[in-house]
Amino acid sequence: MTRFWALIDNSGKFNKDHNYTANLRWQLFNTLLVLLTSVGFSYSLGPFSLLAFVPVFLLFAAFISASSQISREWREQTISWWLTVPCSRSELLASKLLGALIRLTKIAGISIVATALIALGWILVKPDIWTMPAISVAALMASKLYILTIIVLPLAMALGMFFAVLMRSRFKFFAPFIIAFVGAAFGAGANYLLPILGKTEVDTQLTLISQIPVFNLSLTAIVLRVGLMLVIAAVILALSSYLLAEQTEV
Amino acid sequence: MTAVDMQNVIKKYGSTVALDSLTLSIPEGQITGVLGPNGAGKSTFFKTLVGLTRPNQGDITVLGQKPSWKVNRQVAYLADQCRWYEYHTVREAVEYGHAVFPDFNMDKAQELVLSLGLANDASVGSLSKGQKARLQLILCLARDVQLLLLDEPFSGIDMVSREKIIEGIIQTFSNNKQTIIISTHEIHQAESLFDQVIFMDQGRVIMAGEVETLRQERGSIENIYRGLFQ
Repeated sequence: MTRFWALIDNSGKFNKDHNYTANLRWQLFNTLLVLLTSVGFSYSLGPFSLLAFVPVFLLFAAFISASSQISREWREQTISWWLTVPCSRSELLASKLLGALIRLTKIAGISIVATALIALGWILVKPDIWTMPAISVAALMASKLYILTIIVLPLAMALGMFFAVLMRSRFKFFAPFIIAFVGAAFGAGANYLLPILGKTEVDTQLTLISQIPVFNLSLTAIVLRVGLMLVIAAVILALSSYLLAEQTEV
Repeated sequence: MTAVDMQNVIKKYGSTVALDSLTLSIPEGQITGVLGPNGAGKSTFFKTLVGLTRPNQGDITVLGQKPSWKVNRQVAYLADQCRWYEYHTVREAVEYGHAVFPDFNMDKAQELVLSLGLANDASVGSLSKGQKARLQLILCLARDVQLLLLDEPFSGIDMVSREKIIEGIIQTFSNNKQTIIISTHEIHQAESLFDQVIFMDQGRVIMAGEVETLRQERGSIENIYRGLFQ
C-alpha cells in the first residue's frame, strides 16, 4: 500500500471510530429527521421533489464530511501523528478530501436508493396523478439537478476543508467574513465562467420523445464544467495547505 | 556534529512566553534528557523541532536543516498527550506506520509488539492507557531515523509499563545509535538512560551538561532537580 493510499484509507475508516458509532441515538435522530423531511416534501410538492431535496442534502453532506475529516484529528488528539507524517500539507489534505469523497459516495448511494423507494411508494399510492409522462418530466428535472450537484460537489468539499483549517488557524476570528468572501468570490467567478464554457440551456436540454426521457447533454460541456470546479477546488486546496502549514499551530 | 541547534528562540502564546531566548545545542548519537517543571517550555521545544509550532524569533536547526515535513523523514516524534486512531487494531496501527513512514522497520515493530506485551489483534480502543502509550512508542521506535523525540513517554503510566518502555528505548538505541531526546518527570527511573541533561525553567536553559560530570560535581540528577526547583 502506498503512503498516499494509506492516508486515504485511514481517512475513510475514520467513521469506524467506536466513539462515534456508540452515539447511535444521535444517528437515529438524524435519519428520522431526513425521512420526515422527505415525506413532508413529497406530501406537499409531489414525490419527485425529493429528488431535488437529495442534491441539496448531498451538498451539505459534502461540506460537513470534508470539514469533519480535518477537525476530528484535533478533537481526537491524533493531530500530532497526522501532521508529522513526512509528506506535504497538500498531500495530507488531498488524502482527506478523497477520504471524504469515499464517505460521500456511500451516503449518496443510500440517499438515492431511499429517495427512489419513497417516490415509488407515492406512485403506487396515487397512480392517477403520477402517470408515465409526469414521472418522466420530474425525473428529467431531477437529473439536471444531480448533474449540477456533481459539478459543484468538489467545490463544496474544498470549502468544507478550508473552513475546518481556517477555524484552527490564527485567522479563526475572521472565519465568517473570510468564508463569506471566499464563497462569494468563487460563486461569482463560477457564475461568470460557466456560461463561457457552453450555453447552459442548449447544452443541458432535457426533452421527452414519445414519453421516453432523452438526455440532450453535451459531454464536453459537462467535462469542462467539472474541470473548472476541480480547478477552483484545487485553488482552495492550495490556500488550505498554506493555512495549515504557516498559520496553524498544534 | 549537533543534532539540534537553537539560537535565541522566542515563542509566545499571546502574552505567555513559552520559550524565552532559548539557546541550546544537542550532540548527535546521545540520549539527552530535557527536565523541568510543568510550564517550563519542554513541549513547545519539541513542537518547534518538528514544525508543529513556529517560533516568533530565532533560528532552529534540526539535523542541519530548518524544521519541515521533509526533515521529519528523519525524525520520529511522540507528542505529549497524543492518541492513536482508536478504530485500528495493533496490527493495523503497525501496518499503517509501515505504509506512511518511509523508514519504518516492520520486523523491529513486530519484535517490540511482542517484547512490550501487546496483542496484534487487540483494538486500540480497548487497550489500557499504558498499553496505548507502549503502542505509540513502538510506532516511534520502529522507525530507523536519526532523531527520536519523546515528550513525556512515561506520563500517567504504571511502573511495569514504564520499565518496558525504557527497555524498548535501550534496545533500540543500542542497535541504532540514534540521537534521542526525552522529556520526563520520572527522573529516578529514566536517569540511567541519559548521557546528558538539560534543565529548563520558564522557557530557558538553567543548567546543562554531561550526566557523569554533573553527578561527580553535584550528586544524582534527581537531587540536582530538587535543588533547582524546590
